[in-house]
Amino acid sequence: MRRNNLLKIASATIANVALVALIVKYAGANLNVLIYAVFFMFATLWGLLFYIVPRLDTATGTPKEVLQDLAHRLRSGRYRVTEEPGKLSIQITPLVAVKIHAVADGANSEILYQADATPGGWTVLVLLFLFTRGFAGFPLALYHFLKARGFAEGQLRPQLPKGGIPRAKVGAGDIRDRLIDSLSEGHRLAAEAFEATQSSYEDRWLEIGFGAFSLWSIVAVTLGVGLHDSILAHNPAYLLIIPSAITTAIFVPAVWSTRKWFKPRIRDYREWADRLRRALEKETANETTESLEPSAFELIAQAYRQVPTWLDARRKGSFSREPGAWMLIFTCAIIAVLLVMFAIILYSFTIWSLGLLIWSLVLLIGAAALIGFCYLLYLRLRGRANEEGSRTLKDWNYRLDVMHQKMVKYLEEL
Amino acid sequence: MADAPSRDRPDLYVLARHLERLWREDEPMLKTRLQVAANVNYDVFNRYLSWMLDRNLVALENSEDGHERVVLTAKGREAYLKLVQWINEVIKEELPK
Repeated sequence: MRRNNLLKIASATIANVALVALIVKYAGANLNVLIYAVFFMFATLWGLLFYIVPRLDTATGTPKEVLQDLAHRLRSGRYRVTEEPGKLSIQITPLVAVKIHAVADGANSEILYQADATPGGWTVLVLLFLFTRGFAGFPLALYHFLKARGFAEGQLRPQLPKGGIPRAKVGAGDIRDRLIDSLSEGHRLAAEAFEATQSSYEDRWLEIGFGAFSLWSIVAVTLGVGLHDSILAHNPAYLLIIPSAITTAIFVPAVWSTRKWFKPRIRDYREWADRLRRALEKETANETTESLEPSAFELIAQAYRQVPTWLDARRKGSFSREPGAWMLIFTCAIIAVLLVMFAIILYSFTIWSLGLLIWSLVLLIGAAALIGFCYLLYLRLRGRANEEGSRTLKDWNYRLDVMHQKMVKYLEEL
Repeated sequence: MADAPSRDRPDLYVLARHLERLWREDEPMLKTRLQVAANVNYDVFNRYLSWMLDRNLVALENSEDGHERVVLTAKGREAYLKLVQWINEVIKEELPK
């Protein structure tokens, strides 16, 4: 694994040097080239920080056992842990995460760590990197790496099972351990659904803002071109009032319906996440209260009924799930708006030229085609998300029904 | 307040509530405390208690103060562990993406 890391660093360095050499050869050595060379160097280092997988230690047990044991310990420490085959993903801060890999090494497991970011963390990292040409993005990536390394060295290493069978061995386990695992998983899913929906809500405001600004601009340009000069000379405020009135009339209902759709969902997911967090805190602190709150078992059973909804919310809120498609929609929408504005401006000159009129029509047709394409792509994405949502619901309900029948049968046979 | 258990089929969640409450208690628990904690009325509680006693999930102990106390048996603990394990297995299976 160490050899793999060296290989990654070496190939990235060679690629970086080759790229800079190519630029210098074709563009000559000047300040711009120097800036780009630094940018590529930062980009390479930035990528490497999240790409290399340093070794942490060796632990006793198979990778599956070791990771299960670690996951349980971390959940007891109230960390948000996602289990995946061969690795764990742990959220350390709202932006920083770390991946822990376990690789079989004889009877033991080699444990490695990799810097990672939460979805919010990736957004900040990428935007900061692009907008500052790496100058601010790179230090943040370095911070992520050092934070992940500090966590792995300081928190994880002492918890690795040494010289014995991991405590949370498959098939064994105590009641409290199971309750903590179930509550923690429920809390993670509810919290992720809340964060994804909150993020979608904010994205929707941006979309509304973009839509409103585009409509306002198109109407203003149309009026500027279409209204007679004498009208504009006497009532210049028309250029402000009419576009604003039309935009308000169209977008106020959109704002209202967005709030109506998102607010109750956000509140519901947050309440679930809070309930499960409180129960998890009580369980890890081994507290028993005389309150009339449902038992941990009941709370978990109730929460699991919500899981398909949470997964659906997480899927819908995840821009990273289909980033290419969404970027395409966004880009096409911007181009369509620009085409419409150009078409209007060209149309204003058509009194002198038939050719300009034809060009204006061509631009409008192009804009309509782009909007149609965006809409079809959006319908396809939505259709796929809905299909996945209904399949998840069906699978999940089947899983819960099987569990319920198993429990009822067991009680009947007692 | 929950319904009374039918002869052979108690409500799974109400039963789990009783078992969980007893599991959390380090020592035998007063019947009235268990009834309040389980949030069921006296009749329902008695039926659940009989059901659990019939199956050796719990046992009654007489204390010096003259009050009867309920304690979870090894079989009761095992039954609760099984329920918790099954519910845990549901989420342990691979989640749909």
